[in-house]
Amino acid sequence: MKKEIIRAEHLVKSFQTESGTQTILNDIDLSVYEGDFTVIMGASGSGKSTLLYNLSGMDTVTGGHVYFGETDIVGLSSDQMSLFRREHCGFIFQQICLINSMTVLNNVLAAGLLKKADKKELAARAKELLTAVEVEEHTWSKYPAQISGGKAQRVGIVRALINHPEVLFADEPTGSLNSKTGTEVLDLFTGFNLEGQTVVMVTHDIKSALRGNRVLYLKDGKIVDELDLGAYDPDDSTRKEKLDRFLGEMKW
Amino acid sequence: MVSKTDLIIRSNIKKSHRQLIAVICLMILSSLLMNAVFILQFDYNQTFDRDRELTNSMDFRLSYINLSGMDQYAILSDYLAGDERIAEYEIDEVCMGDGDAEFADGSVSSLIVLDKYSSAMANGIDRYEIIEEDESVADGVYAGYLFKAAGMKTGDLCHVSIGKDSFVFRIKGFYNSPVIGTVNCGGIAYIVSDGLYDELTADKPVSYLIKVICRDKNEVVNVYVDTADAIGSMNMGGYISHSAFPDDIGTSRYSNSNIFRIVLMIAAVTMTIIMLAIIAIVISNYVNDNIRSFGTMKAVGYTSRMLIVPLLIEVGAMCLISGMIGTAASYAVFPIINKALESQVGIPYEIRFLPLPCLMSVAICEITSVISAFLSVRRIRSISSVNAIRDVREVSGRVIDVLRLDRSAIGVNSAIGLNSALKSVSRGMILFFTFVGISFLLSFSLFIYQNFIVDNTAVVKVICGEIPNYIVSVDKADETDLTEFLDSHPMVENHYFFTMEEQIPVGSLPVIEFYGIEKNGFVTTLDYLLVDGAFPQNDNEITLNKLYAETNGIKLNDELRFANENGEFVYRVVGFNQGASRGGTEGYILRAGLEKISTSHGASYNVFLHNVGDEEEFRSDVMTNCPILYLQNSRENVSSMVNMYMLILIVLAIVLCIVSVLVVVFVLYVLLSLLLNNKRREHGILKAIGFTTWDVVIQTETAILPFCVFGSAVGLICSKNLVGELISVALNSIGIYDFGGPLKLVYLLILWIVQSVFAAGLIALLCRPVSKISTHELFNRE
Repeated sequence: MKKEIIRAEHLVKSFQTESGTQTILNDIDLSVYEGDFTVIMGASGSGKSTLLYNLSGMDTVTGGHVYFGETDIVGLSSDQMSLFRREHCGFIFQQICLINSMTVLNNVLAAGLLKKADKKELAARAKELLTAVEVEEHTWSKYPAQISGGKAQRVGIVRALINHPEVLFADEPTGSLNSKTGTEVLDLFTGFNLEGQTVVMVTHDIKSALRGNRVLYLKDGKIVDELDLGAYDPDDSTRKEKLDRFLGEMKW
Repeated sequence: MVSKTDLIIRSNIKKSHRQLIAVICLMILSSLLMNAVFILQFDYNQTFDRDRELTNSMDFRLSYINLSGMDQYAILSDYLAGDERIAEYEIDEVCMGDGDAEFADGSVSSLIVLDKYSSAMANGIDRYEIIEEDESVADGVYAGYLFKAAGMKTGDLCHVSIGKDSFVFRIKGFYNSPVIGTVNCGGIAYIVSDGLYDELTADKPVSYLIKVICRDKNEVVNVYVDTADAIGSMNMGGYISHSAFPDDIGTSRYSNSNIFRIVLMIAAVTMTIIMLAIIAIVISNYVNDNIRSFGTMKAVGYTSRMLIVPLLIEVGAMCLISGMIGTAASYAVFPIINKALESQVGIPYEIRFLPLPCLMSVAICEITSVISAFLSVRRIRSISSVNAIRDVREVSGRVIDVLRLDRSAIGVNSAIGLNSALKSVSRGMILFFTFVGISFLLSFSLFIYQNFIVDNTAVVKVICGEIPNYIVSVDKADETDLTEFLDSHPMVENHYFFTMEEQIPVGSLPVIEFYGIEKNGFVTTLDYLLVDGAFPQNDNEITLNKLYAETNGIKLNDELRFANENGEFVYRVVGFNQGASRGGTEGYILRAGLEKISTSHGASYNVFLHNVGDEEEFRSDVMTNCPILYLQNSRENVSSMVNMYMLILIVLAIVLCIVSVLVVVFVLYVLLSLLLNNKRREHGILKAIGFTTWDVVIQTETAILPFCVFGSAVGLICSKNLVGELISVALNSIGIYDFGGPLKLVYLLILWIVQSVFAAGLIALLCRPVSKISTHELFNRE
């Protein structure tokens, strides 16, 4: 029996626009389980990024509840949300979102030091992770603008993992990368997931989606179906067939 | 071109309207201060000369006291009429003598003149201008405008004494005269209604005010010397008590307004420099933020000139409008300044529109702003379209993270903030110098607080000289009786000879007001008045006011040679002193030296009592037992002098504090809004990965506050001695060279803490927008 980490109940997110209320997420019930690599897919504008932000406490919901463990994060203030994310979440963004005015190493350490870790241990972990994702030592003192997009995204991954987050949220992490670099980044995700890291990833890329063991499909603000792909096996060709069939049924 | 320019300007204003509003406020403040300075510089002090012309003012005035009868009028008149160098003269019969007049909650000692209304109104020279009159007051007096400016009203009672005679007058009205009437022009005159005048002066000896206008203004001193000598040799039984010259009166009247003007000028210059720096950084930041737009526009055919000119037009137009608003606002503020200054100067000033100061204020603001903007905007010329469109930004070699977060001993937020601080040198420097400037301005306020409100002893001594409980004057024949009385009186702690003689001409040099002193009395207690050299130790030595010496090219050990009806004299200059009480014309000589050059009619003693509370009893005793000519309570006198200075100084201190606070608010607002704007994305990312608003506030505080705190410290340390010295320099014109001394460390420390806390609080307040940064919106926007 898998342990439930996140549970969303009757999750609603809507915006007021000039033409009236626009509902993005419409009464969603969802659970995310420990150790899973959950992939959220859907057409553009289906609300998948919004769902990710609402599950992670990055955005405030309009209605319903989001339980992270036993804690209902709905109703927390902006700063309480920050503290919550600091303790429980890691984020990887499509736009990478490193802080341009900090060096690569300081980008990682800034996130790590939030948890008041031992500075030496933290630096050692940061270096270990950077080495693991093949960000060479000579780039650690460079600025994001001075390294390639692929390298920068790897740094983003290290920053997201530095605090041992319970859940790693990723919003189109390969969206701004070329195919080769994207594959390398996905390999990293897979590797960390296989080591037990829970991952929730939004993507519209089939290759990326194949890395997950569970695929949710979002349409018009609702989860219309989900697919159990099972544990990732690069040699299992049936996974792609399953996913293609699933997406076909969803009229992807 | 015009429509394109218009389009670009509108777009620019829309993009950065908040910073523009703050810059506009700085421009308004700068032109406001500048116009106020220019009004003071070009028009305010000139009121004196204008009024002199309107009232047909004298070139010099002699007060000839206690004549025995009207015969002397004809003798004097014949003499003056016979001197061809004299264009006009007038001899006014008045009642006068040294005395006290009630003023500003105390009393002031001066030559007191009672002038008969009918005679005063017929004056051909130094005409009085009645500016307020209360018909309901029957037998009253008209007082000088200074009394009105100090708060006196018609119908009020005022106490006046001349020698041993005391009077209580009811104020019937006020008059204006540039050269007589108030504390600061060598004589306090009251115009007394005819009936009252006749009643008061029925059995009093005659005195004359002799007013002379010379044909050649270069001959004034010679004519004065000859006239004084001639009158002295007429042996008519009276004596010349006081002389007055317009230049001295003007200097004395406007000394405070000059200090005010100089300090205001320093504030205006500081303000303008800060404004220019802020314009430079705002424009520079604007160009930086819009590189892509500029690149795109260049790509579609705009030239650099077409992009630069609209920005300059925008700054120019903004500055023109702000400058005009600022100069207009200065006219709204100037009545407050005028009211404060009137209470010092005692001449009413009519505020009027002055095109030249307005034009200069707007022009300076305009030209400097456009130059500052041009220096920042010219780099548009070097923007490459391709790089700009690709958003390629060079990473400067100077931009380095000085602190590695895992190695710094401080917290992560402080380390991030400090790295940010060390990267933005230009922003930091602006803040640093702003706080240096602000601290410098606030130090003037602190100086006023320290030296006038907390403890004014030192400055009062410099302004007024020694402050005994009483100055007692007797006829020389009664001196022994007085000294015996003082020696034996149980309330008297100390007393010493200290006599001021009338102004004595010293050859071709301007007159000197001689003080006769004793080696073991005055000399030992008034070291603080000594600027250079020593006080006299021998009969033939003199210590001169440094102002007099500098004005007349006299150096230490020079000899003053002159002759009068008592013989020929040589005095060696052994020292220079300071002091404002006699307009910088005093000279100290020993009693024996004084007695050679003057057949003194009296002797004065400074008397110190054991207890201030004994003053009234002592006064009564001395009045009863001694044949005194004159008795003055010096402390009351000083209190009035200090009250007179206090109002303008408090206004000055408040103006400086307000200017400082406004500057700090505007500068921090502009710089912080730029910083927060530039770092909006960064702050969004930080919040997304778990930093709270407070964390970001700490980072911002650390990035900004050190420059404020350090700048403030440097400014205050520099001001410690500099402020007193600058004020002393400003006061050189009235004979003061060492004023107030250094600022106390404890006050500087408190001011530093207050400034730092204020800056920290303001930064935290201005960081409020950080709490509204919504992380997901930020990413959606990209």
